[in-house]
Amino acid sequence: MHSLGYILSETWISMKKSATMLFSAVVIITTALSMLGFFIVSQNFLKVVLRDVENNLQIVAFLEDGFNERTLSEVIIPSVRAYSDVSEVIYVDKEKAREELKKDISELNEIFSIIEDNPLPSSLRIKVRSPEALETVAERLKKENGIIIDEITYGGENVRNFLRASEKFRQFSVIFLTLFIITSVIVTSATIKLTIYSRKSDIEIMKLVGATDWYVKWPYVIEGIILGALSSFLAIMLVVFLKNSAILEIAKSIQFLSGFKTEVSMLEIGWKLTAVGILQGIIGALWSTSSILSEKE
Amino acid sequence: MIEFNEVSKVYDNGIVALNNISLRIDKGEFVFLIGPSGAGKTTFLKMIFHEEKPTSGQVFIDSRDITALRRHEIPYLRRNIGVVFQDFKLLNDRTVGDNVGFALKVMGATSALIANQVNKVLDQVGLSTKKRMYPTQLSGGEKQRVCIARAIVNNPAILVTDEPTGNLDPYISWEIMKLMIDINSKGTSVIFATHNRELVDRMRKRVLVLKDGRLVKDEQRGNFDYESAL
Repeated sequence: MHSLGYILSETWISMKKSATMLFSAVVIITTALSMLGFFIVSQNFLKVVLRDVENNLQIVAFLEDGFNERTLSEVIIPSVRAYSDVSEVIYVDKEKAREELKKDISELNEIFSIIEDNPLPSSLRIKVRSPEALETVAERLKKENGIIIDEITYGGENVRNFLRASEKFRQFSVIFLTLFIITSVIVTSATIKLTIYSRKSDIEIMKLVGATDWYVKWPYVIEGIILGALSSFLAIMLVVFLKNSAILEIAKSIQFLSGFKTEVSMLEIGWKLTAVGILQGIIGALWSTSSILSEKE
Repeated sequence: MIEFNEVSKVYDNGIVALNNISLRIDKGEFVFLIGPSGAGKTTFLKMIFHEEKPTSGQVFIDSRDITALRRHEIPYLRRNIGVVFQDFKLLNDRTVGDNVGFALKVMGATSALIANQVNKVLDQVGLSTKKRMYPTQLSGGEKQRVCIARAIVNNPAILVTDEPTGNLDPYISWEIMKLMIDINSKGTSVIFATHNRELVDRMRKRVLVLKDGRLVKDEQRGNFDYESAL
């Protein structure tokens, strides 16, 4: 094992010698890590949105005026609550429906002050446990006796398609993320390999005067760590910028997504990107030097 | 002592570089290695510092079969063999002193020892005043002397030189030759591959002649007249 002073001085000499190549390597690794970071933030944002959508999967059964309130509270609601796919049943009477509407759309306050009768129907809000349950619960409700349901709304195909697509996206994301990291390591290794190849003759000289493999490798490993750390830092800066300027701004402009925020902390992304960056640098340096050193003993 | 025992080398492209070579070079001996281009001289030299491995046969150095060395043992073999190339193989971004000291540095020598040895060998090759210069600032002859200084800085038992005077004018070639004789006089075995007729004929040392990978002549106090051996 050679002294740290020697390794650092050799690293510095080596880095000075191929500054242009190293700059290219930093750009490539930073790009790869930024994409990874951006992907993590997007994934988290989608997760937050999906969780909200899933938590609010519900069927609204509008009740025809004149239903029997006792039958509703003593028979129908307990019966629906007993469905295995149902997590919650809330009864919203006409008055509550009007208050909610007035609260949601303040412009309607004036209209409601003019109209004496409340035109809004009473309803049952039935939360279901999974998107698949929407249709079966709706069908079952239609067959319930003792109550006439005027109309059932549950988002139907659209909600189910959205959730199915999201689930598929989530599954593919895991595969994509794995492939992305592997590709990123390969690209990084290839880039570092190019920088090392530019110093191939130096390595040959080192070997000829009796340098051991690790004597040759150490400075490049340190260089890989420095490259990885520097690229990670730049990537973190870029991801912070993208997170604030792109993802959340785009979300704000889409009504459906406004109000959502990512829950992932920049500290978490920071250490993940730094770990991946440094690991990439080390793997790249070891891989590249090993392949050059094994060309000739 | 270097010994080749029925050494053959066939490259992947089918070229036979060495064909059943057997010979022995004693400790402290000075040997010229001559022959036409493509005769196998460079391959022969590379066998000694394990840059190439024989396809068959063994190479012994101090009775040790170096063809059986493990990968991690090779650097330690090379630390005992100085190598001088026609194209110098110097690190252009390091000073003369750093180039020469590099061979000691890879061995983990202390800074004081490196400084002491570097000064000593630079004095020996007549480059004391050029210690802080870079190879690009030197003439061809000076670069070759730096290369020789690097090769001998750790007092190797064997010095392998591959056409060290190939790119140099006759006067400088003689300067290099004198250096080699000086190094050899201190007990280092020197294997000197060359195309330089004048050096070989004047020195009257042992001459090995290679042709198409075969050893066609091995003569004590020989000359460059290898055509007669073909």
